[in-house]
Amino acid sequence: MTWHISDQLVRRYVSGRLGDADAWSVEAHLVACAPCQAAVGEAVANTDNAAVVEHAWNATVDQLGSQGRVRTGTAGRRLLVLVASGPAARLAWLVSIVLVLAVAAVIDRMGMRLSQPVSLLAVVAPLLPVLGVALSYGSGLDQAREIIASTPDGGLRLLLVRTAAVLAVTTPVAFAAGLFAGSLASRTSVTWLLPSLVLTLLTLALGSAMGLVRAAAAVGGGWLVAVIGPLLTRDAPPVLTPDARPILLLLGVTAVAVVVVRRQSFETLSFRLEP
Amino acid sequence: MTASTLVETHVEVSDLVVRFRRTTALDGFDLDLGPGVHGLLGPNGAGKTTLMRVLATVAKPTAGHVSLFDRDLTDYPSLRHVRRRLGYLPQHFGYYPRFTMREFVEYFAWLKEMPAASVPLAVERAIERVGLSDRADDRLRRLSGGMVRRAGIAQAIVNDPDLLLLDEPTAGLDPEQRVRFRGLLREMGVDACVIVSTHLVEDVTAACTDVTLVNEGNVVFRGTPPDLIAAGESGGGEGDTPIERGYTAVLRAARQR
Repeated sequence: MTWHISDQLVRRYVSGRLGDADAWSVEAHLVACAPCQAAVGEAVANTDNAAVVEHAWNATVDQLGSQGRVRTGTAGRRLLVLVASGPAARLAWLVSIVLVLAVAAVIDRMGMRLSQPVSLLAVVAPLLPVLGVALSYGSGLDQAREIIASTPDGGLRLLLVRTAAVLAVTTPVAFAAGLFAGSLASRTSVTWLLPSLVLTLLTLALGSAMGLVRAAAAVGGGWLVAVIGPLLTRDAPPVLTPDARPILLLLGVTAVAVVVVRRQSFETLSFRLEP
Repeated sequence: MTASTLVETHVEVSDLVVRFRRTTALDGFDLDLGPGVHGLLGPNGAGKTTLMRVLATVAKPTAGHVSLFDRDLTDYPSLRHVRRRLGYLPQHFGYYPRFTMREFVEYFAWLKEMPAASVPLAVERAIERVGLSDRADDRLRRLSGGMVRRAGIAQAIVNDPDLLLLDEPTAGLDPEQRVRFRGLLREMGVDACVIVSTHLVEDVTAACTDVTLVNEGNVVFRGTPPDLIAAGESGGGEGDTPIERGYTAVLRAARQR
């Protein structure tokens, strides 16, 4: 700004001796010019008007109210808000997975194994993220689902964010439980990690066709059959052996491909609406 | 607001049919709407909510044609384009009890793919417009039913939608809030297409530029509020206000047909 209000003009403005048209010009300039605002402030401070200005200022500020907790809009903030709406951020969810895994780890540690090479943790841990995915989307738990379904990001994107969050919460807890059960150091530690990832992906893939809740039930049921079935004949379940890893890996890759191909199916509503 | 908005048809529905297992909610429904505040009236079970869900892209039509902003909803890019410009308040909606009201509105701002830099201001503005700035940091479970509904309205308008769908928005609002809400409707209706489904006939008289009366899945009346009043005067309907008499007269005529 090249032009500033002269001292004389400031004095006349402050004492009210300036004509309306000139006063408006001064005010228009004051809106944008910090040095002149300061000059006017100093000039007013030594006059009778100081109290009036002070009063008007306080009245304005009081009316504004507090701004509250405004957050800057960043990608990280977006992720936080999306995750916070899902099951991974629910205390009830966290408590239940900790409880389930703790019980499994304690039983394992006490040596009460289902069968010699199988730990309960390896059976239970892969099921938890599957359950989390079922709760993530289209279930009765998500009360705002009808609004979400009308938004562009409410489909696969939100589902993937929530699924990742569920895995990010479940995996460390399962690792801790594994440490406690003493199986982390042994080769059995990986037996639950790969299945939990693959079962989660399978749930997403099947969910694109039958809805996530049903898909989770099918995948979870299938897993239990695959594990418990062989135990009845006292064999080690093949899915938990190292030989099964390539097959699990292949299943996982196939599931990813299915999700990619069928990604649009998540954008339409996956739950029934009452007429 | 882009120039294209001026020549777009916001809502174009023709021969829309929506069936559930046994019931038919909409049966050959036709509707063309542009900017303005459009009232959707009708008895319970007439198909208002189903129509709103189809327009909100959350329910699929069984048959017929729906296009929003001149786009069919058949491919994903169109669907996404339409959803970015949509605001939807369902009749019933839940919320996350741990979210504050500000977080709730912010959540939907993100889901609507608003530019990150514009989110905080848009959230504040939406909350201010429904008159809840002083409660923005309260958790939703601590708010009254009417306030939660206003929070729902705030999330619907946060992206300045070009198509705003409000299903029974005045339920639970006290008279003063309803007057304020009608002012908001008129503001939004200047350049957006606002569709308000309601069973409160007086909301329509006060805020709507035109009325569509729905009965058993079909349009039985289309006109301005004065038209509906005139229909009541000639048709001899029952009711306490002129527009109520128009409403009952048109419905009775439709049922006798």
